[in-house]
Amino acid sequence: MRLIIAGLLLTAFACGRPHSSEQKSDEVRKRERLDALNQDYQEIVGNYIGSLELHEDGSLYSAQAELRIVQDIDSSTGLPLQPKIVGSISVFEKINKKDEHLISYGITNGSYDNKTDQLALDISDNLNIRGFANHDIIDAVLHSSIKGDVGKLSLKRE
Amino acid sequence: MEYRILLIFSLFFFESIFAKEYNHSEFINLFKKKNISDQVEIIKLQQSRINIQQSMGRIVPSLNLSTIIDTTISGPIGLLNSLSNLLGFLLPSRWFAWNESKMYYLSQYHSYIATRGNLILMADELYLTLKKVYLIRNLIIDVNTDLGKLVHSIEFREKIGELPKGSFARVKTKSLELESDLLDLDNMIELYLIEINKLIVDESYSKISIIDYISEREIEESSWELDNILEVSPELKSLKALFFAAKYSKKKRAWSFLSFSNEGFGLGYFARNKLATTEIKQIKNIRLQEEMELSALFHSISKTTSNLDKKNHLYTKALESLDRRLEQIKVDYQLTGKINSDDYLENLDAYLKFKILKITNKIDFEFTSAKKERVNLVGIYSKLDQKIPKRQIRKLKRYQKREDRLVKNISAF
Repeated sequence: MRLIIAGLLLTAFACGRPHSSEQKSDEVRKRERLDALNQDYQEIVGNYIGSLELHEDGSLYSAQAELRIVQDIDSSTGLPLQPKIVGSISVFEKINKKDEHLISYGITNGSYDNKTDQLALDISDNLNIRGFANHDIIDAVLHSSIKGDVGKLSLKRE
Repeated sequence: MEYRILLIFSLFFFESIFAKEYNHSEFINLFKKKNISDQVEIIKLQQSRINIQQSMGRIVPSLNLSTIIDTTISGPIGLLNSLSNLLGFLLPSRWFAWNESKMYYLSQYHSYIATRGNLILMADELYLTLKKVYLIRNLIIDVNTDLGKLVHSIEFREKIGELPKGSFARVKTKSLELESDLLDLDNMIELYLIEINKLIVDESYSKISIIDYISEREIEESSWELDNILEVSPELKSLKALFFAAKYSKKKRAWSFLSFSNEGFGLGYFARNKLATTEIKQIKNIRLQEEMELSALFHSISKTTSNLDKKNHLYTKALESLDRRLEQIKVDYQLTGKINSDDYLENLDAYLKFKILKITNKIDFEFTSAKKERVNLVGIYSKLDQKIPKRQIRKLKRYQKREDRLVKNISAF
């Protein structure tokens, strides 16, 4: 009986201590996952140009987007944090046959899934862009938290 | 080929001659040269000059048909009747009439200078008013262009639900209001340009000339003292000459009984003299009134100048503050996407108001300077007698030369 208890304690002790090689593989896995994510995001970074059509009255605007990746480092562990898509999107209106700059939004946080081609870009508290993207095009909807879907964004890589 | 060159040359010629952009001094010089309004005054002046000669003619012996007929028919009695024509120099009234005509000429001469000065001041005012309208129009164009960008952006943001409904309508209404003001201002400019062109060209102009509203009016600095104004005032000089003319007129009437052709010494004689005395008093009073008016004008211009300075300082400070506020609203809007249209428009209205006040103040300052130059007869208001035709000295007779010297001498007082 004593032997059984000692064995169980030994097993429990052995199991309770983290194994250094296991820990290492976790970090590697995480890093690999982030690298893969970064790789996915690399697919869509760059400059796009196209149009934005508003649902309300069908008015058409020119649009430009610039997407890039940022990946911060955790200062306590020194490990890279999850990458995110940032950049900007600008809207232009044709006034007197000239594209006049109307407005620019900063993309605060964006994500992209390579397998499903799903793209999500947060612009502000009230605005975001949801849709599809691949290497060459972005086909998405401009969504307002107040008015719902407000416009259709069609962009092509420049 | 030559025809083509000629055509191009003539087109260029017409374009450059008849549709020029004039700055202030160019415009005033052209106005001085081409304006026909003062021609009437010149004619009056020439007439009064001729009157001197005419009254001189009454002093020197003259023979007319009536003298011959009277002498022939009535003999020595007839000759006696026409004696005043033959021996006019013996009659004091003729000499006084001559002096009176010289004073009238002098009065007319100064009156012409005053009228010409007033006409130039009127042209000056028209130019400055047009300049003010141009500057206000440019301001509204700039403000509306700036507002236009915001209007489009607010319209977009309202459509996508970022801004509350009504924000666009408010700014768009303001923009349309400004466009309407712009149409009114363009119309005013056209009307003023027609008036301006009427002053400087004849009917042959093919295209309306415009003015350079950017450059500043040249201002002639001079002493600003009431004594100096009263001394140079052509109005006062004209009235002074008129006063002397009235005095001579009184003397002429007093001696008129000697002349056979006049009314003679009778019941109306004293009444005529009294009338002449009243005329003198009347002119004296008018002169006093004119002096008081000039004095009031002097004080009014002095006060206005000082007020304009204070106002300019005030408007500059107000505009600095409003400029900062508007810029802040725009930056906030760019950063947050939020704007209080009413607050923005309220500040924009205040900005426009003070900007227009500043432009008006600037033009008022230039016009006050013009008035100062006019009363001091300096700058563009100097040498106003340039258009008076000069008599050719070589062709003048001896008595005419003497007469010119006399007129020149009395012009100095």
